[in-house]
Amino acid sequence: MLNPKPSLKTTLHALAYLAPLLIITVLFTVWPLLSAVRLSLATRSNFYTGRVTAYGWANFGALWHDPDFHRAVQHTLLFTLGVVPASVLLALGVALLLNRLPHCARFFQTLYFLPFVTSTVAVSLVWGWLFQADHGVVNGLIHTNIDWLNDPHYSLLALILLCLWQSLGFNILLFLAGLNHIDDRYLLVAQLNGATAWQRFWHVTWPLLTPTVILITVNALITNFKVFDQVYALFHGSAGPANADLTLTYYLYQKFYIENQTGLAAASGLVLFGLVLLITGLAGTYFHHWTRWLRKDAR
Amino acid sequence: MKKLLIGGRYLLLALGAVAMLLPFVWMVVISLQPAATTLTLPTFAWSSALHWENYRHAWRLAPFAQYYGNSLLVTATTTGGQLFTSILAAFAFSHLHFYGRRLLFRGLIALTMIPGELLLIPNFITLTHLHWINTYAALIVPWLTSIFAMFALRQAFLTHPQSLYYAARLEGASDWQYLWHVLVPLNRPVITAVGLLQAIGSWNAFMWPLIVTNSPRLRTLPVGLMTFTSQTGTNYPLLMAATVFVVVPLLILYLALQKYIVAGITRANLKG
Amino acid sequence: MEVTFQDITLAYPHQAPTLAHFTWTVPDGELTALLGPSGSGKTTLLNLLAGLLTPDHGRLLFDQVDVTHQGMGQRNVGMVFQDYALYPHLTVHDNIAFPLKMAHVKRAEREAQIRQFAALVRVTPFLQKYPRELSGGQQQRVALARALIQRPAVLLLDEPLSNLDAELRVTLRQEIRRIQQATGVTTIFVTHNQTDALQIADTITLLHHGQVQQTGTGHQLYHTPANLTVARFIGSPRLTTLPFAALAPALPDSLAARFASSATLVGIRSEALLATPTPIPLLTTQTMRLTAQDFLGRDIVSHLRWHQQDLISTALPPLAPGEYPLGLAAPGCYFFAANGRCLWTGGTDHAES
Repeated sequence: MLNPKPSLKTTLHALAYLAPLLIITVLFTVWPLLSAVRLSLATRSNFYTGRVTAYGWANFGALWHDPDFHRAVQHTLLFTLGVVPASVLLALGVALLLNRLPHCARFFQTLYFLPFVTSTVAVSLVWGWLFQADHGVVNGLIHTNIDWLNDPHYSLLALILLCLWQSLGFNILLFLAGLNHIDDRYLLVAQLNGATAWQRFWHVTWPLLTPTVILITVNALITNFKVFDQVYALFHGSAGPANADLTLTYYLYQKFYIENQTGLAAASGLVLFGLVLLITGLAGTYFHHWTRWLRKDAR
Repeated sequence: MKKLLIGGRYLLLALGAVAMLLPFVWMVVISLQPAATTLTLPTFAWSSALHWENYRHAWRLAPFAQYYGNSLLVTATTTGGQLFTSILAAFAFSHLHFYGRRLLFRGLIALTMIPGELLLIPNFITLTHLHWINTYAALIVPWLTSIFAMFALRQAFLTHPQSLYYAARLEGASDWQYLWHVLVPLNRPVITAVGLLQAIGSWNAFMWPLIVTNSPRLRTLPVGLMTFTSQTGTNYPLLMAATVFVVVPLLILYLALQKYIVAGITRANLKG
Repeated sequence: MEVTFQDITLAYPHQAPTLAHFTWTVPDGELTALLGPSGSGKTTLLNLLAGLLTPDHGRLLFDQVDVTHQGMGQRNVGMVFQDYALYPHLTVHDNIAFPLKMAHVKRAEREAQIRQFAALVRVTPFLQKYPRELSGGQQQRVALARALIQRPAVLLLDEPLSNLDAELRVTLRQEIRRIQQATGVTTIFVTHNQTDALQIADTITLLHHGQVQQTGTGHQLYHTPANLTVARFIGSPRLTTLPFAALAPALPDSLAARFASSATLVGIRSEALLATPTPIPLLTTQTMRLTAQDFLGRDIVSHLRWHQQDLISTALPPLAPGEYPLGLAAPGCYFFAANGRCLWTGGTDHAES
């Protein structure tokens, strides 16, 4: 790296390039973050002005005792557990089927990826029709008579199925990219060493693919923690029958937009942020160790 | 044996593809059924006439032209803005030396972990202060930058040898000229990819436009479609026709520019 | 344009200074080779010239004008990079046009100049091609044209031949020489390859450990090296050295006595060891043992053993291993002091004075 010494002049010069991004980021990300923390600690405030007159932990206390919040956390975790492992495994399976397919790989990839580019609201509305009790396609196909969208026992499953369908293409794409990164020669050597297809997958592909798996899992976890659009559209602006699909983000929306409980909403947002940080932190630690291990290996 | 294996792969993939495609097929099929009929799966007739007039009716029932205009405006301006601010910042982070460069960069990357939903509340309050609720500014200004886009572009900008930059500088190009005459044209595929991803996100955005607008004049397509459901109730053929409006532009864009979108996602997520 | 480095010091953080009180002058209008092994500081000098680096102390002068703190775009330096740095998205034509475009030169004038310089470096047939469609040598020529078209005060060539195969290297060496002479631009040619430097340059400066070891023509550097570093770096095969004390008994008495107290090392070029008899005046004739011969095309490298010392000669005919009386010629025989300074260069005594 040349002329590595920054000076006041170079800094001002760089700032001119950074200014547009920094101004908007400070205004709409940094400042709101601080404000959200402040609001979550506010026990008395004006909804419209955001003026806070008293501070305390009351909002977090209220969340702790709010059965709706418990339900929201529980649903979010259940939902994520329903979507993520299935989506990751299915995507891996499809990616392995697609990988080095002689013909039509591109065609299939295009099809699987369609839901990702489609408006969530639009696909949720379509699925709303598919899930109908009386003449729904889903019931028709599996010969059941479930009222998917009105039975609290099934409505979360309906949401899970929708999100699974929607997220698959994106994860397949990432897996394909990960598989492409693996040097063919490793597999060739393994084949020369007499490894069977299964052995090659388990001892060569899988270990080399692990970082991709982690990346996709973390990405999927974070995305699904924040599920909202699908809930809103599938249940027409409600949180499902008997709040059976009340998720964290929906809870936040409800508290803020419907009930004007800014403090509670901000506090629930911070809990969501905490979850995201926890997951990213764990993944970050793993990646740190993994890259260090790789470097050691290279030496 | 090998042939059988390949055949099996195709069979499984085809089954999956049908599952992926089915909702889209139904969407179109239903949109062409007679309006306001209740449909039962086994009985509705394929042979019955196709009711294209559903599209006309749906289009008239709600100001979809207005929604389209809004969506186009918001998508174009936010995507353009994001690209512009990200290109500038990505250049600074990849080519310029300044105090606090590393710290600032890491700080920005850390910000991407914040869920947008958390920022919704204070941003709403800020916009209320600015009297921006129910304006285009509310739909556009907060989205004029993207740290993801900046990161992806910086990674791309870093792949060019430094000698290229030094050569241009020695030949009398300023930083600004180098950026727009060399770096941007060289990275056109990446910039297209990043722009397309941002455009998809912007076109499909729902929660933010839902919250900061409540007049039909400002609704974007997804919000407009959602409000349309309350008007049509269970009139699924009309609803599906409207859904087709929303979905089709992006499907065309995707089919036309698929290779850029695929490259963009791969680059933004795996090369970090 | 004469280029002067005046007492320049440059240090990277947490490292010993790369350059300390460095002073060097590049003569106007000549092709100067800056020769040195990697890590000798030649890239640092190049970057200082281009303005990619700013020295901590000292001044850089272009014809007595202080350019030390001028930016890269201001000092009008042309540079050909090792990887050529051609813009991949521009045609050859547009690559060459780039500096003129940046300077807002009018279109007609621009086209005329492009034609002129494309003809000079002989790339006219490729003007509409993209860099990736060209061979390494052609890319090199385009890079030269692009650097020259802005009529630089100084032209810098950074290892311009290192990515080319042997045959192209020879051609392009001549081409660079021709183009430099046609334009008369002060040119600094940075290389670690002594053959490139010897063949191309008016003057060679040998750099080692951030210090100028010697400046002179190739002939001067080879035949009258200033010190051991120069003598070792220039010439192939490498200079053989042995302790002065080992050779002293074999030398003429007057010579041995004259350097007995000052010289510690003797350097012998491979061509200074000759088969006897020979018409060339000899310092001494000794019986040496030939252990092996390597046949490298035209050259024969003979490995010799004498009084526990290994010597090399390239002046012997094919011989069977065995003992032979061999002569040591004065030219190609150097005496060095303990600090490496050259005391005696086989009779051509420039270093003595």
